[in-house]
Amino acid sequence: MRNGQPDVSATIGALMGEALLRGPLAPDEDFFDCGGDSVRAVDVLQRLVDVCRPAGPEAAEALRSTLLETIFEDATPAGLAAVCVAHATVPGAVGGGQRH
Amino acid sequence: MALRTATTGGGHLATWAQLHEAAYAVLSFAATLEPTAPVLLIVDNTPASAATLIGLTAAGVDVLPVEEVNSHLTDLLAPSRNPGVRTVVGPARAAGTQPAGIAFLSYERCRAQPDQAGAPRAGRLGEVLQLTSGSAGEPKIVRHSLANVWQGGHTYRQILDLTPADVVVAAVPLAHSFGLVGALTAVIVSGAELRTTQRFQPGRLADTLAAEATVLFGTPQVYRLLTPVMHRRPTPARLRAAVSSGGPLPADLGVRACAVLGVPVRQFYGSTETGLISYQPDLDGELPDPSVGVPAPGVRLRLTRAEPDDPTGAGQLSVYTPTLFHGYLGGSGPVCAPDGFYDTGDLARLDADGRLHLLGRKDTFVNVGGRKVNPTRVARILGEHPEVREAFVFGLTDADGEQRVHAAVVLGPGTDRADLAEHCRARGLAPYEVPHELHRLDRLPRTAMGKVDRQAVIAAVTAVPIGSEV
Repeated sequence: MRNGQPDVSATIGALMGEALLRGPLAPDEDFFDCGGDSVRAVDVLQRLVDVCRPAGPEAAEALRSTLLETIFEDATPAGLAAVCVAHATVPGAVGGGQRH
Repeated sequence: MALRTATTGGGHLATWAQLHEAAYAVLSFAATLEPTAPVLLIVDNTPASAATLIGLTAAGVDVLPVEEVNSHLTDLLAPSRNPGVRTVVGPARAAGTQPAGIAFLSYERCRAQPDQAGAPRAGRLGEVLQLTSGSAGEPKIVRHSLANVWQGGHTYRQILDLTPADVVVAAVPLAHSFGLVGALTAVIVSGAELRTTQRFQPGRLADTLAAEATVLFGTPQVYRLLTPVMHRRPTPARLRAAVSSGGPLPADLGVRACAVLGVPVRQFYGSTETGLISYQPDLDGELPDPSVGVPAPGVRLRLTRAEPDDPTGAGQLSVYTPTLFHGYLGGSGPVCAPDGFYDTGDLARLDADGRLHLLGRKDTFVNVGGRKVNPTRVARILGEHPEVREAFVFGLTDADGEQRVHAAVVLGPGTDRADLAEHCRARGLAPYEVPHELHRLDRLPRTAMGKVDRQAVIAAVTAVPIGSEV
């Protein structure tokens, strides 16, 4: 997941496709328009967090929470990929904006 | 402001005066129609949809409200199933999605121009029709008088002590009774302000809560999706009540949601046929409360024991409510016992404090995030695929407490699971109705009587690791 955004996007497109029992989604295809519902969305995010392997439970929680908010606003593979990249590759940005 | 609806592109606002004016224009228009057939109304949670609902029923038209994302337009309106609907009213973007022979009117077209306002029809008020699971098989349509809906709104106003100072956030569709009665009608009778959304977005909901909301209506799934997002925001300053309905709220979720919302999540229990049955009063820090609370005002409960010696006093729950339905559309014969009690079919007990505990729900429907999915209907649509030999559809609750739609299918050689999923979508099933898990079996286990053996099917599909099937 650290090889840049296009690969991340393809991984997410494939995860979404699996949840919908179809081929991978293109980077700009909307998961909900393709037949996703909120139960499937939560499944996709769970698997995505597992794939991203965040550093520790707190980072995982922050990533999960940001992805959850994002998928209901921009449910494209590209949109979620941007979140993953920001969380995984920018040191100190993991969990940015959260209060603890 | 009376009603604000957030949309992805901005929002819709309406004052009470604007809502009244719009509803009156609908009423005037509807008075020129023959009030013969029920109207199917797509309620997209906007002020226009609310005004249309109010205006049509006030004009004596029976209205069946449905959500915008639903499969009834294709299924319920099929000639063999149509309960007499000849007109669909909805947002202009829904034009053209109706079967042949069904007329479509946009919200705007459903209003009289100022110079052509007809006189309101005297006499009968329209009924509000609601889809329900029934006891088995295909859904039935429940009839409620407008007076019932109004009474229900007053009950919510009273329980939640709603006033014009309140800002009520409905994270539930206004097409279903919880949103229609608990949120919309209660707001109308109390003068509070209502916030709705066209599309559920936990981030935007969290922002609204943090800013000004005083009361929140949600399903357990809303609280499940909202809670992690609220972690990154301050505790809502004005929120004083959070209500959950549409399914059981798992205790651990209730505790987590309370921690970020600053108020306990109170479970409300009712049904389409009865309206509100019981509710958790303002809890004094006694979390979690495993009950569904105390009877709502005017509600009487009766438990019929299956086992006379059962020390817990558990029994089948019958209720009398001030908002009992008037029957099923097209149905004849009594729907209640001679003394007016309605059998919910749910198994329950009362504790020493008079609180009601649900032990088993009769519901044959699968509850996907508060939306009811009819397994018989999904199985029928699966069975219409030429390569499906047998199909059995059921709900299973996962570790989260959410239900999913499962289908066990016996397939011919010419299809696979991806093809079946596409078939379901092409046949107009809503995303939440398309089976979340499709299990391929060599045959469906059956009882000696020849009925599909549900427990054996569940045992067979849970023995196969999910994801290993083709």
